Amino acid sequence: MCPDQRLPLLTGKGLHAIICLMIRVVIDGEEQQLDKKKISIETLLKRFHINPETAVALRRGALLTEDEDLLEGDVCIIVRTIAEK
Amino acid sequence: MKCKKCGNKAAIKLRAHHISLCREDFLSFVLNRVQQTIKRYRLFAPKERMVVAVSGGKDSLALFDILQRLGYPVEGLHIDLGIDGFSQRARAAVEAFFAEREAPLHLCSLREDAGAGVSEIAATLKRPPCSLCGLMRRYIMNRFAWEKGFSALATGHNLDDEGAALLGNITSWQIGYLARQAPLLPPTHPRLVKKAKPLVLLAEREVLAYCILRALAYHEERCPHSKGATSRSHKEALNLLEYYSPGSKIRFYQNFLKNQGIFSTIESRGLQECSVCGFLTTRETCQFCTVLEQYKGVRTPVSHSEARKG
Repeated sequence: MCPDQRLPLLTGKGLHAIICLMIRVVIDGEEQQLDKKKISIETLLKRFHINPETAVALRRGALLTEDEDLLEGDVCIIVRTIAEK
Repeated sequence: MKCKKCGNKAAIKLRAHHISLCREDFLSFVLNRVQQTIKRYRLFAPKERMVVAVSGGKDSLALFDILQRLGYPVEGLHIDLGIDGFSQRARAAVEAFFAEREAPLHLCSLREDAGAGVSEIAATLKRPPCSLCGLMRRYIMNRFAWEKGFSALATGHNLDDEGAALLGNITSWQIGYLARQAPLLPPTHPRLVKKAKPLVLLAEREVLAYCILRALAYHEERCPHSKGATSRSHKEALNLLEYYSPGSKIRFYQNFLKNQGIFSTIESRGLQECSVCGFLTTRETCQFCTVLEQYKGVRTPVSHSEARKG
């Protein structure tokens, strides 16, 4: 089931647990959650229409190459060469 | 993905160079690239006294860090452009950066020199702030570098900046600009210092990755006046080419430099002293003074406050 459908039914710790299990992506300061167990950086950038020549991806402060996968619970920050905002 | 040099886990893939590198090898790659640029284009000698123009953004802070690590005796110059909020935050980032490494920083303020910030002048004169900002910054940097006896002024223009400028100059066939665009602009007058761009062979993404890996606390905010800037669409166009054909940006720029001689027959206009401030110009009154006269509405000599050592 899509977490978006479950969210209204949950509050407090339950909601927190579901969000923590999602992949969280921060782009231009805005956080988005992905309903995926695994996604590569390459696919992630394509999904958000970001040219890989204009951005770098970070997880826990470390740079990620395009072949690396994000897993549930990961927080990924995309830093663009020119911020949109 | 493994580092091509040491076999450890790679931190970044550089498609233009067909390599992936780990953190340490990427940082060495950046330093070597800048050193090669300095040598190839004869930007400056090891002990030359140079000032780096630092806006607080990633490029200028990275440039300062790199030149320091390469052993050049560099000092910084920051110009507070008087853009409400944005300029204060940029200045704070610069001051923190220099305080941390105990490096010499010079501060100039457009509000103190001209009596108003870029935003107010642009709004009053109904002119685009970006063109005003560019001409005023160039004037202050040139004048400061000469008055303080520096032999070179270094700026953080990277490959994307230069590529975008080149594309813009070609699309509008600005022959004069094409003849002058180069990593090194030699002094064309005794009262001008040479201008160097040591980051021209590094893509903007490489500079960004360098800042992140070095944990340089740069000012990330976009200038409020930069919305809709044409250089942005030129950068996007070049990066699209780069995506489909890695290495396009560097080939575009380096092959232009190789063939730049075809534009060199353009005559350079003679420099003379501005009738108001006495600094160099190609006209009777320099553009800086012209703008200030228009802004103030009266023709009075410009007083330039002494830049203070921070």
